[in-house]
Amino acid sequence: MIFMMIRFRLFANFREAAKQKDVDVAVSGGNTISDAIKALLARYPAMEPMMFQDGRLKQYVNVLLNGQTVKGEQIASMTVKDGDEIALFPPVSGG
Amino acid sequence: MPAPELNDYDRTRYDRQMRIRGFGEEGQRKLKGATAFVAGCGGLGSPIATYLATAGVGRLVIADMDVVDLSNLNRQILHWDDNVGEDKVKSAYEKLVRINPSITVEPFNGCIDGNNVLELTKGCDVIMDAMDNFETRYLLNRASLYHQIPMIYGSIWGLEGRVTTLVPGRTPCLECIFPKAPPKETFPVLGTTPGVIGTIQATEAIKVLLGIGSTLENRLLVYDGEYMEFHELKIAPNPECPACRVKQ
Repeated sequence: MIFMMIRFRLFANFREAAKQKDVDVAVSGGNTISDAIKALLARYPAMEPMMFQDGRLKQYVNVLLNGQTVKGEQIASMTVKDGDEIALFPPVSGG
Repeated sequence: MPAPELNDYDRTRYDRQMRIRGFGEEGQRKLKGATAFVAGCGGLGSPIATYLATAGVGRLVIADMDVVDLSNLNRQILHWDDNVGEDKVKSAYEKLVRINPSITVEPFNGCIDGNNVLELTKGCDVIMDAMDNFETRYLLNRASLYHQIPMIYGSIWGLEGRVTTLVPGRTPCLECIFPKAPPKETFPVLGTTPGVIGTIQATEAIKVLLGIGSTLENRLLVYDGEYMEFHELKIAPNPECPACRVKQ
């Protein structure tokens, strides 16, 4: 069975939902970025409507895996390993 | 059109910045001959317009549709208590022409929309995004692509901000990065956040106008004031972007 710890770095209202900047989440249901994000949302359900729409990550959420930008389909296909870091940036609209 | 000559006032006023490597009299003349469109006179627009004015950008076109509200004053530093209830462009205009009487400030008091955005930005050398919503940002983005002029994007939330420099043909456009608009909201914000982001935007604009340094092209800079960290996200054009890749 897969079991790993993934560190999430959260920004703007994602951070407000978690009340902290960094969150370590145990992931056991799969090994893709998408699986890791689902484990995060299981812990913080309030984040789901901010981040997901129709079962998919909203297009305007920026994702970095270990500092590298991840796009579109890579979120469902790219694998993560124990100790990886995923940063999630919602866009912000204020001016 | 050749860059305008400097006079004695200019040479004294801008002496300290003309000493910057790559700047000189030639750079100052470029700024004097330049026009910046400042879309919004709020949190971001205040430091952007202030610093472009002090740097001697010869013509500023400023646009806003709102009136000054008391709740604006924690961050919108061009507006003061006795301006509450006034049009923001009037309040901003009156400060800017005193901050630098040698430049031209042209106010547009109204809503930037699909009918006027191309006309408003015509003849401008750079578009400064200081809006509070993505609908208008998308219009500015289209104008930037249409006129082939750079747009300096900025947005803020709480103690966080985002900023990048969008140059048609060289970088992604705004719709490549954010194909869907996040909702407009009444957002939390500390006044220093638009101060940080707006001054970075003004710095980028001046560099773009002068052609010095390296800009934020293809990089989205994320400012995290809560932990005082800066992050960079690599950004790239979307080959299927409806704004910049598909023929209109």
